[in-house]
Amino acid sequence: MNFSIPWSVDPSFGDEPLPLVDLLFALEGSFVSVPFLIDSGADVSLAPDRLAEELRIDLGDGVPMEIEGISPKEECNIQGRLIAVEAIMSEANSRIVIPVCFADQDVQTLLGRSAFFDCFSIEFDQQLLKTWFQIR
Amino acid sequence: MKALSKPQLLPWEPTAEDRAKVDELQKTSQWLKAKKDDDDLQRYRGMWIAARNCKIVAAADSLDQLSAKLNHESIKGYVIACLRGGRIRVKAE
Repeated sequence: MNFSIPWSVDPSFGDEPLPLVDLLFALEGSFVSVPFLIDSGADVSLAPDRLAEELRIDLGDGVPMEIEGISPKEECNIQGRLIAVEAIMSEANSRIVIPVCFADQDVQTLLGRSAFFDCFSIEFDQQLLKTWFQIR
Repeated sequence: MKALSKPQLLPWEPTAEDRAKVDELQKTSQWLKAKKDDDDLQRYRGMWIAARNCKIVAAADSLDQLSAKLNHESIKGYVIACLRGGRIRVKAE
């Protein structure tokens, strides 16, 4: 199955389209939608631990980890807990289980390579402003 | 990490009721991400927002503060977004 998702404009920034994917999380008989930035430069997916709390995800079994980012300074590293979570990607009519590092800071929501890029062959089309997905 | 990374893609077969709930969320999400003619939403730059029924219901500098603005009620039925643009951004002059 192939499908594409048009890039979206972050309304607060205005002009720069971004490859976002809305992930849906089941919660108390309903759903929550959270846009994630697809980030092929990130090893794992990332979200703030406060989101895990809101989604009633227990981080107790999460694997403690430290994340390095753009800055080489150690004090800029982020602590988090890695845990597998299930989300719905409606465009694929699929539920996907991905490891997400829930960080102890108010980080941006990113979809990194681990697991997500194993489930799909992903192509970014900067000219057409689309992300193409092929289910593996 | 290895076990956690095992890729799993499973079929999603929503009930009609679930489908309707998701459609409503997607409508709001599309509204949020559509390019607007005005600059109204620029004041939310860098913030976390909660949107429902194609309206921003609450906005705050952190997810913690956003939850407080929602009176610590469940976030079910909301689009929750962090409006920070790309991961690496060029700072506007």
